[in-house]
Parts: sequence; structure tokens; C-alpha cells
Amino acid sequence: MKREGLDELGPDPIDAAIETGRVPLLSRLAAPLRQRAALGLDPALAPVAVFVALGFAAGPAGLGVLGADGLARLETAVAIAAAALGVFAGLELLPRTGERRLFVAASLEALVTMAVVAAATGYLLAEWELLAGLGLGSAALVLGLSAAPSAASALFGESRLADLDDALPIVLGAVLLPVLGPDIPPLEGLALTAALGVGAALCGWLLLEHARDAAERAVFLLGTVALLGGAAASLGLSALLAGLAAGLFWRVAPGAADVVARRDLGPFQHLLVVLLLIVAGAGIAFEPPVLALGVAFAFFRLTGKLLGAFAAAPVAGLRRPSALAAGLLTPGVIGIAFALAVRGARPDADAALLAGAVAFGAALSEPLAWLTPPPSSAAA
Amino acid sequence: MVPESRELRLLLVTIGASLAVLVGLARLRFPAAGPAPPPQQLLPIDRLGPQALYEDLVRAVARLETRLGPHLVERAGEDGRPALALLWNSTQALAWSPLPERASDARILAVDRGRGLLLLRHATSPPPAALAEWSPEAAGPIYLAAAEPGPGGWALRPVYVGRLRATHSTTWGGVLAVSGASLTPGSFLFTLDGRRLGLVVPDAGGAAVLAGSNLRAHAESLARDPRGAAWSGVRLGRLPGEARGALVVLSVEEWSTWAARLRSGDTLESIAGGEPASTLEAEEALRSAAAVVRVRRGSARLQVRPAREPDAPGLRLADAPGGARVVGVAPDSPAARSGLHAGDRLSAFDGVEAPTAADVARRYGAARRGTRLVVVAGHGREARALVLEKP
Repeated sequence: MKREGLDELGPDPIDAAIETGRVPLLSRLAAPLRQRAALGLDPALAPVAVFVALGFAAGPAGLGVLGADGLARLETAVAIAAAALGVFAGLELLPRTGERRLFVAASLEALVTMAVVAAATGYLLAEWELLAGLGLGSAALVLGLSAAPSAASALFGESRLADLDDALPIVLGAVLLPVLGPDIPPLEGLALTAALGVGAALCGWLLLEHARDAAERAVFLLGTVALLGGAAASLGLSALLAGLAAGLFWRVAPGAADVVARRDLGPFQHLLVVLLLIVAGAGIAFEPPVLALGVAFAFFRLTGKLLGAFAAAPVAGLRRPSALAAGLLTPGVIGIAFALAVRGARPDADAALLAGAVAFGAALSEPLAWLTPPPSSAAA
Repeated sequence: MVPESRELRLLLVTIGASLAVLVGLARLRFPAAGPAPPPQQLLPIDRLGPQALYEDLVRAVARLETRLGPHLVERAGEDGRPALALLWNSTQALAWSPLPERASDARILAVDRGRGLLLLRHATSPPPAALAEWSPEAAGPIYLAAAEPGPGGWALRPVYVGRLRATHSTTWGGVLAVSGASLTPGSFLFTLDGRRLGLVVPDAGGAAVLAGSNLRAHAESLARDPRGAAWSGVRLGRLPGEARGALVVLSVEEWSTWAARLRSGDTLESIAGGEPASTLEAEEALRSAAAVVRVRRGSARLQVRPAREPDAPGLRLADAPGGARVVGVAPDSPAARSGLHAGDRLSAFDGVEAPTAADVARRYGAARRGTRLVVVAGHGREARALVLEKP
């Protein structure tokens, strides 16, 4: 209320006087970043663009430091990283008190984003007659699912949606992944993945509850996460969903497993994100279809997020959709992890093109998010 | 009509920009990529392990075949099977044989009858460019190429070697132990870029690679040993794990001048007052009739000299129905002077019909010096009478 009251007064006369002066070009370019930083939308918390670019430079299409063999060997590590990210998502997934509406809003926002990106990219793929081997619908769905997660980088309360909008894409992705990879019926694959996650989490929980000290707990926790990722990769299942199920289990199970998981996995979160981004960047082939699909992914993700924010704002009880959208625009690494999981389950040229397009599109989404005017400029 | 709400304006601008991008991108056309390849289902272990591309391997082996062609020499093996030799220098080739005592090829220049190494005469004009050598202390996992003889000529086979490790062999001295690969003695190993690794030899019930300076030492020792006359008939080895440790007698041939003088298990402390650096050097020193060897046998220390003449006819025999078969004849021995050859069958020896190897040793040992023993030997259906004189 107070803020709206200030808005009604119009621009600050001092600011207006300063704005009339000549502003250097660099300052003008940096203005959106400064504004976002001031609002708690730290632009460098998950620098997707930076690490994907670094990965591309190190990858086979760049300097070749990270060759095709190296990437193949990292696939299991990527699956373990995806499982760890799934655990983080699972730990944050259950709506806290009074958050049920927020959860519905987040899922609605994710659904709208998925639909917009899948429709646009599906249309383009049909026009280009690409990815016929993978299937037009499946390819568009992979792109839509990869676009939906947002980075939970914002510090203000509305960005809680960024935590919660991962759930629906992870579950739908777990249904889709067996369709693309091994010959497992989708529902059976979903059940198997959930069973794997819960089973490993149960073992981990028993070990964690009987551990003698913190060091032993850390070893049990890391072992459980490695088991989740390795087993999911081996079976061609979604490591993300297995991790999500494990995180959820630890959250609802009695004891302090969720606290231990948050505390002991936390220090590795940034490392895992960097690993995923570097691998995703290294997998980008500098080819016209990858770049074109990546551009479409970035633009329609932006559109989908804004539309999703409009749809979700009334459900969440928020009055400013643009403020909500600002917290959702930064791409979530879970989307990239899902695209990498598709490439792992189906190592062919189509899946590589998709994963490359998602990585490039996510890297492009970040500067687009920085340049989108945040709500504080509404009065200007 | 411009919307008042900032949020709506932002949304409409974004949608407009996105639709413009969509229309622009939809006009693009990409060259047809052809039918999508079938999905490649890799097992997790394949994802984790080294993945050499099969096509690359095939290309490398094909290139190598052309390059190695002038260096490899096909020959008939002593066991009747095809065998292979490697050009060692411009006039000589090196090979390994499972039956060196049967070596009768006119091209053979030298034979190490204890180990089976052969040096053959093989001149090529012009000689091919010498192969570079690769002599690692340890390596692996690695793909190598094994040149192996076959009924249709020699062939190159890619061999995946888990690990190569320098080790010590009682028979060969320094060798490379190979793990994770099945190798055939007598074949030669090369790197995929054409460097010579070595000769596969039998060792300790398996196979090892004789390579580097030790392969050169064996070949040079053979080159100094015309017609294989120099082998003393004594095989020496070193105790495992002792590169400069005591030399131990592994076996003494019955025709050797050291027979009944040295025994298997004797430890040699010195030969002719010196301590040989290698088993090869020691075996060469034992050729000398003047060699005096200090030996430790159990707790006793002995000084041993070779006999002037061996108290044996110089025959290696294998018992067979109808009479012992001659497997090998020692050069310059009474048997060689009598005209016996490998492959002969003894139908009578000093009055004993269809003799066994033990009969021959007993009758020869019982005969006085200067006695002329009558021998009936045959090859196939042909039989001939010979005189074997005990010197």
C-alpha cells in the first residue's frame, strides 16, 4: 500500500533532475542490473550464461579441452548432480503453512510456460521438418518442460513460486523420459523412479538416523545421492524425480534427515550447478538449427513466464504480475538437467540437438531476464 | 489503444517480439539431415570406460599392415605350422620357435636352443626404413597390433592390453608382463603408429613381451653365436625380485660338458673369477672350456670345471614305440659326427633293439673311450647303419 501511494506521487523530482543529465552508455546498460540487484534479484547467483559459455569454449566445438570421451564419462556425474538437485527441490517442495495457493499458482505458471514454449517450438520444428526421429510432440514437450523451472535466486517473498514451479516439470519429465529412452511404459517408469527414490531415501534415512557423528552422516548422505543418480542413469530413469522423491521422503520422515540433507548437501549445490552448466555448454554444437531453436526457446520462455505470471497472480493473491514474473525469468538449472537426462537416455543426434538448444536458450534467457524492466521502473 | 497497465504493456511487447521472432525463424530452412540414426543404447559401463572408435582402429591397422609388410618374414615353423620372423637389420631376421632343436632351415644363422630364439638370414634390397622402438616401463590400457602367422599369411590383430608392466623373468631377464590380453608366443607387437614393441615369448606358463634393450641383447648374443654352437647347455636364471641377485642353474642338458658337474638348483657365485652382469653373459662365459665356476650347493661351496668331452652322445631323445626318436642333436657332439639328425628314429643302439632314451644313456655311459657303437637309424621307411664313436 505504501509503495502504491508513493507511485501515485510520480517520479522523484531529484531523480528526474538527475535523469536529465547525460548518463554514460555503460551506466545505462548496467542500470537494469543495478535495479534488479537492489530488489534482491541477484544477477550473478546462477550465472547460466557465463558457465554455459565457458562449457562451450572448453567443449568439443570450442577448444576441445573437454572432449567427447570426457563428456561421456561425466554422464554419471551429471546424473548424480541431477539427483542432488532433485533432492533440493524435494526438500523445498511441500507447501509451508498458507502456501497451498502458492503451490497451485506455481504449477499453473509452469503449465502456461510449458504450453507456450511447446506450442511455439512444435510449430517451428514442424516447419523445419526437424527431429522427426524423436517425434515432434516429444521434442516440443522436452523443450516446454525444460523451459518451465525458474532459478530460485530472488530474495523477495514472491519468488517462492520459483521454488515451487519445479515440481510439475519434474513429475511430467519423469513420465516423458522412459518414453524417449528405454522400453519402459511411462507409468511403470514413473513408478519405478519413485520406488527407486523412496527406496534409496529409506536406506539413507535409516543410516542417517543411526549415524554416530556428523562425518558419518555426511558420508551416508553423499553415498545415498550417488546411489540415486547412478541407479537412475543405469536404468535410463529420471535422476531428478528419484532425487525429488528422496527429498520429499526425508522431509516427511520423522527425524532430522531433511535438516542433515540441507546442511550437508548445501555446500555442494553451487558446484553441482556449475558442473551441469559446463557439461550442457560443452554439448552445444554450433549449428544453425541449435541456435535458431535456442532463440525461439528464450523468447517464448520469456513470453510464457509473463503470461504464466498473469495467470498465477490472482491465484497466489498477488497484485503485481510483473513483480512475480521478475522472480521467474531467470532460467532454472533443473530444466537444463532434464535436457541432459534426455540426452543420456537417448544418445543420438536429435537428443543432442535438443540439449544444445535448451542450454543455448537458457543462456540467452538470462540476459533477456536482466534486460526486462523490473517493477520498480513502473513509475518512470 | 495503448493499455494503461505497465504489466500489460510489457506482456504485449514481449508477445509481439516473440511472434516476430517466430515468423522470422519459421522462414528459415535447414538442409535435410537425412534419416535419424537408430538410437545407440550404451551400457553404463561403456559410458564410463574408454571408447576407442572401431572405425579408427580398423583404419590404423590397415595403415600399419602396409607399413610393416617389408619388415615381416614368413617361414615354415619347426612344428610344421606357419611362423613369422621380424627383420632385425638389413640381412638378418629374428624369430621364436617352440622346437629350436629341430631348426634345420638353411637360412638359420644362430639358434638359442635354451630359449627358442632364432636368427635367420634374410636380405632385402633396398632394406626398409628401420622401425622406431617403443620400450615403456609401464603402460595401459592401450590398443596394440599383434602380427601373427597364419595359414593364409601373416595378419595384424588389434589387441586391447589392460596393462604392460616391466618385470623380471628367470628365463629371459627383463620382460614386459601383459595383463588383459591373450598373446601367442612367436608373434610381434607394435604400437598403432608403427613403433616396434617386441617379441611375444612364453614365460612362467603364460606369455610376456621381450622388448627394448633386453631384446637387443638377446639378438646380439645370437649374432655372436654361429650355428648355435656356443650354448653351453646350461640354462641359468636369477631368483625372482633380484635384478642383480645370485644366478641359479635351471637345467643342464645331458650332452653338455657341464652335465654331472652342475646341477639344477646350484647357485653360481662366480664364473672365471668374475660376476656376470646378466644371465646371457653368464651363459656365454660357460662356453669356455677353461671356465672355473664357484658354486654353492646347499651349505657346501664347490669349485667346478667342465668335462673335456661330455659323457653323453649329444642326443635329445623322446621315447616312442619302435625306438627312441631323435628330437635334437648337439653340434660337434659324437652324435652329430655320426650323422644322426633330428627326426631320426633309433631302431637299434649298441645291440639293443628299439632302445629307449634310458637304454641309450646306459649303453653309452658303459662304453669305454674309443669304442665304436653301431646304431641303426631310420627316417620314415628308410634305414641306415651308423657308427657312433665315444671319444
